[in-house]
Amino acid sequence: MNGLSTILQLRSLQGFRMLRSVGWPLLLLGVPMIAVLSLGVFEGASEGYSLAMIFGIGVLRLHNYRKDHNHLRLLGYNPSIVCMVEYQAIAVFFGIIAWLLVGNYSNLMVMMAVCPIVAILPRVSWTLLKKWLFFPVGWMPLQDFEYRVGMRLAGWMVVALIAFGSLVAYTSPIVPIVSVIFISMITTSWHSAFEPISMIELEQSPTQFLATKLIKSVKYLLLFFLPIGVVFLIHYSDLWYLFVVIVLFGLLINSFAILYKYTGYHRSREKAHGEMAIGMFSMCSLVPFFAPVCLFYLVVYFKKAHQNLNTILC
Amino acid sequence: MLNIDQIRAGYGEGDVLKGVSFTAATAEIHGILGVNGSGKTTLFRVLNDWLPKRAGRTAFSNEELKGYHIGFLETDPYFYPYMKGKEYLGLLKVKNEDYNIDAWNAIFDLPLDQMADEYSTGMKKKLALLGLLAQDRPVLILDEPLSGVDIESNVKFQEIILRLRESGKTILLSSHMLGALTAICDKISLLSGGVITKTYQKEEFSNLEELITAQIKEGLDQQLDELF
Repeated sequence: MNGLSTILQLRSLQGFRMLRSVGWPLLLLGVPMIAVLSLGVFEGASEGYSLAMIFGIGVLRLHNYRKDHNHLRLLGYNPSIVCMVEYQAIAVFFGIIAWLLVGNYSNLMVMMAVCPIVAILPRVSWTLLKKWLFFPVGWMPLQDFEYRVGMRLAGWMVVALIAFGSLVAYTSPIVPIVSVIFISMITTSWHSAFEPISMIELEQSPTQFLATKLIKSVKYLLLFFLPIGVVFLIHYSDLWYLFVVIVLFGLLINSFAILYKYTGYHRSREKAHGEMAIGMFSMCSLVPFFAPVCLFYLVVYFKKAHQNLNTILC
Repeated sequence: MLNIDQIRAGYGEGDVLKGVSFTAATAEIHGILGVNGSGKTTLFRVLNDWLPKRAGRTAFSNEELKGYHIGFLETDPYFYPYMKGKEYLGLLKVKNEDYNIDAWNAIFDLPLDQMADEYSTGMKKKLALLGLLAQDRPVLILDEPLSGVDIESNVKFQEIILRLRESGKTILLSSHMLGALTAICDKISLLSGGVITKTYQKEEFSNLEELITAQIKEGLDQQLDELF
């Protein structure tokens, strides 16, 4: 039990460090908005078993993604028990909030019951799955490696969203808009891994380097949004400005993801870990009141990225 | 000519490198020998600009040493996730059209259609070396190039490094295998306590192994006598 509580303490510490890495100004700005949004989602999802379902899918994904099973075994812990305790800690946290909000404790019960089942499941072999899941990317230029790798992993999802956003657009203007938002959020994750220094063209100027990356992002996003946009304009031409705003949102958060990556780029590190910062930036940019703050942050991060690249590029 | 002059660097408050100086000529293989923690990797990180130097100067051919001069083979090379070996080399080939991926890969026969980040340690090292050859930089820094590769590839690595010297590259190399260092290096500098304590010329290599072994054993014998 002592070992398990140490692991839970370590996990809390990791969570705290992750929050701290986002930076206090962005955190102070984003936390109230995330809280309001999350409470709204909780309230809506807590009525039936939706919250338990969302939790189950999330935990299942986390369970299959984590790679510390063998490490835990080496340390003398049973991975299934550690996983179960960790998942139940998360379940208690969210379940109690939902209970307090709508007085429905059945979600908490289901969530607690799901944890041991997920914890004993074996991980699905990624090697077997990827053969079927990888999207063909031979048509994309090698220099656009972020998009090549991104499409390889999430290409089918992007295609499905484009198809969904275009073919089901006739039902409601929300459908294409949600598709664009999801595509934009998927593509931000493509700017998370740092490339080795050998892949960076050292003779470019930081401005030229960043401009190339940003233009490339705009090019690909517009390519993805184009079919959805055409269908949207056919059905809802009077709401054209709504689509423009959402496209701008997509371009904005992806630009931020690129600038965040190169602000923290270091040749001996592998990842930007910008999920929290990008998430908060995305939420802020969806609120018109905060839009100027987002633009300000974009300029700040451009300067920071420029400064960092100055020490790397010659 | 690569000129390293009074380099000081470190992590936190203390200096790991306390004034490292040496020179390496063009078309020369210069070995850096030192125990674990002596600062070999720190030195290479400084030369690569991965770690800022606190003092000193680095120059190559009378200009400041820059990133575009250097090709760096790390001890544990990292590759972009979900990128195939062929794509990685293809990306470097964009800048060097003369580079023939298939011809070079015929030496190691790497499965270039597989994801590079899923390669074994030895395979990653071979791919990193092929990438280094594609980059074609005048200064090559090889940090433990022979560790983690099989005996056949070890011989191939050594032969390639010798050919690179013949083509005029300045090569800095660290290894824990003294035999391999003496076989291919023109000079070997001993890094100890954050400084280069001595540089051995090729003609001094014959008794270098005995000299170093004797130095290590000197204190160790006494310690072991007390313990056993």
